[in-house]
Amino acid sequence: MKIYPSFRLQLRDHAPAVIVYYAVLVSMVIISLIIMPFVTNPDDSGYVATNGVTAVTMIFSCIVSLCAFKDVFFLSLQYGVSRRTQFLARLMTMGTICAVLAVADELYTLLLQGLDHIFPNVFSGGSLYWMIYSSDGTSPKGPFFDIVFSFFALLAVCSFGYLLTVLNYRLNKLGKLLFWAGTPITVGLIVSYVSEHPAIAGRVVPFLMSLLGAGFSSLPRMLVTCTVLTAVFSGLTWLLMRRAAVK
Amino acid sequence: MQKLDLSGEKPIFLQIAESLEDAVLSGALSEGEQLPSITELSVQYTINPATALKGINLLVAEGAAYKKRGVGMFVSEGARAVLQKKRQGDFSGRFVGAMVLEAMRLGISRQELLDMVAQEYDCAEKGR
Amino acid sequence: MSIEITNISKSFGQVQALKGVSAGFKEERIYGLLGRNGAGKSTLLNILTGRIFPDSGTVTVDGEPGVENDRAQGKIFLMSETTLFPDAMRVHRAFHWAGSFYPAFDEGYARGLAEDFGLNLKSKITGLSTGYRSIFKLILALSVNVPYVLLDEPVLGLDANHRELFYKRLLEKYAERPFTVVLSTHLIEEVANLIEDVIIIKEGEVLRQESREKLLSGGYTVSGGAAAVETYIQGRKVLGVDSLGGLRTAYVLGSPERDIQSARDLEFGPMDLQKLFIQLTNS
Repeated sequence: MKIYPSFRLQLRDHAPAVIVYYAVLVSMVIISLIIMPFVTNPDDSGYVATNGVTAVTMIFSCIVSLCAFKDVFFLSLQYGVSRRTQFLARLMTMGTICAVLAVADELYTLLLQGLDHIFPNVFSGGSLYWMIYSSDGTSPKGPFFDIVFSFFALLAVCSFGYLLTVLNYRLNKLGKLLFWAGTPITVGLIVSYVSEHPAIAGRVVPFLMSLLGAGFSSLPRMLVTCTVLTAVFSGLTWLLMRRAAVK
Repeated sequence: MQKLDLSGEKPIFLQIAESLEDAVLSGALSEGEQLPSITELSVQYTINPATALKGINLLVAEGAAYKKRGVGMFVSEGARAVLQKKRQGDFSGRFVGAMVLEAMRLGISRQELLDMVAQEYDCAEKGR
Repeated sequence: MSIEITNISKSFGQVQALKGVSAGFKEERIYGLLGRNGAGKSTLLNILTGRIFPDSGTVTVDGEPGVENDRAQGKIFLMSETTLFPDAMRVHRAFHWAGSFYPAFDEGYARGLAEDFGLNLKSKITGLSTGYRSIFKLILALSVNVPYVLLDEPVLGLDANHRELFYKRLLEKYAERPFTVVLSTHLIEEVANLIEDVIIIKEGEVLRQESREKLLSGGYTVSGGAAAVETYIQGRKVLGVDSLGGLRTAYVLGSPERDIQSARDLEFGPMDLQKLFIQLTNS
């Protein structure tokens, strides 16, 4: 089996981006510490607020996933790796990367919380999980829950990003145009149509809100929803990938 | 070793055999000495090893070479005499026939040709 | 032990690139895969290595399905014209990964070859000239130590010295540890004495698959004055005729008949692979 080398190859493909990302985050904190003596104004409070870093990490991981397909796919085929093995290795890679990002986000949050203790009113760091679910004290809080939340949220985002890039690879020129231009236009048209017809909006908006509530109103619901989304996105990815050809 | 005529009319394995025979006849390869290996021949002339093997096997069939297991191919004792005899047999057909034909095409008379041959023979003997 | 291709068809839009191709590559032999531009050679090799999928037909490697099978594909290495290496990848990284995917990859040997050819290990692969890109891929192909090495236009962009060096290294490797080599090339004269077996493809179909010896012994050339040649070839299977002034050279299938009346002033010669190829694949 070539699954282990394939996993290592994909991990290596991600590593530089992850390192650069956290290097930038940490250096921003360091720069803040350096310039702090010069700009501190007692009236300002918490101006280095990096609450919910995981929201930024989600965007980052989506972009990384968007870039994760073609190079690895070509190189793997050159080295005789089947698409099935590549896909399984991709799932392993995604799991590993999301776990690393979730833990790193938590460490970053803890770092900010620590600085908050030393320089009150300057730094503030709340996790995305805490902001969404437990800032009002209704849900349990703590690093463990932060990490679990981040891991599953990132997993769904990464599998979505990867699905998009594989879809983009499979589409021909016309298909790409239709998909990338057509989707925003269609969504825009639907939104403007709905907003001009209050009767429809009155039914659609509450429905969407209740859907969102059902899917994300608590941590367990959110975990189930993210797992289902990950499975659906990955399943679709496999359907697109299993017949993908070099072009 | 001489250059082979890779795109020529004569099959490569025959050319391989002949160039090895030539080396034995001229003394470049002495009796009992090791012949170049199949790999060496194949790489030297960029030819398929099977072709090189076929050439060497021709020498074995003539009794001019033999195989030492695990070591390689060697020139047989008495190979030179064997090859001389064989080449003498071929000589008239291979060289003289072609020469006479060309002489006739050029209008060289029988006597002129014989004189030329005698002269060249003397020259070569003196040069030795 | 062999790669067997059975009844492979493949279309690209309106163009039928392969039409029911069947062929086999046996172990430890050197094949020439010959065909004109667009005959379907690269398509066939890409299907063999699972880079593209056939519309129909099967590929088996040593008796098991060859496509989407890591074990089967682990026995094959295709050096193709298209470069599948990422933009930023450097030569030594590609060697490193070759070692992870092909356990028998000999990195020391690869580095030695790179030195022989003057290939800088730190170069970016996509930044190399055509010739050095070919050299880089050839080095991988010679170093992975798999039973089946497929070379699509192996000497593309190589100068005469590097071509000769490549053929010599290939034969050394082959002598030391025989493997199947498939040479797909336009430079027939260069490989004519290297290959044992010939597969000729024309317009997506296999025209001939047999040993070079058998292929060449199946025909001969006859040349001489126009009238004499025309008379001789009456009623024979003629592949084609070259003419030069009043002289004709005909490429004829079968064995020569030197003794008959019309053959008196003619010269007979053996068939040559390149000539035969040109005659077989002309239009």
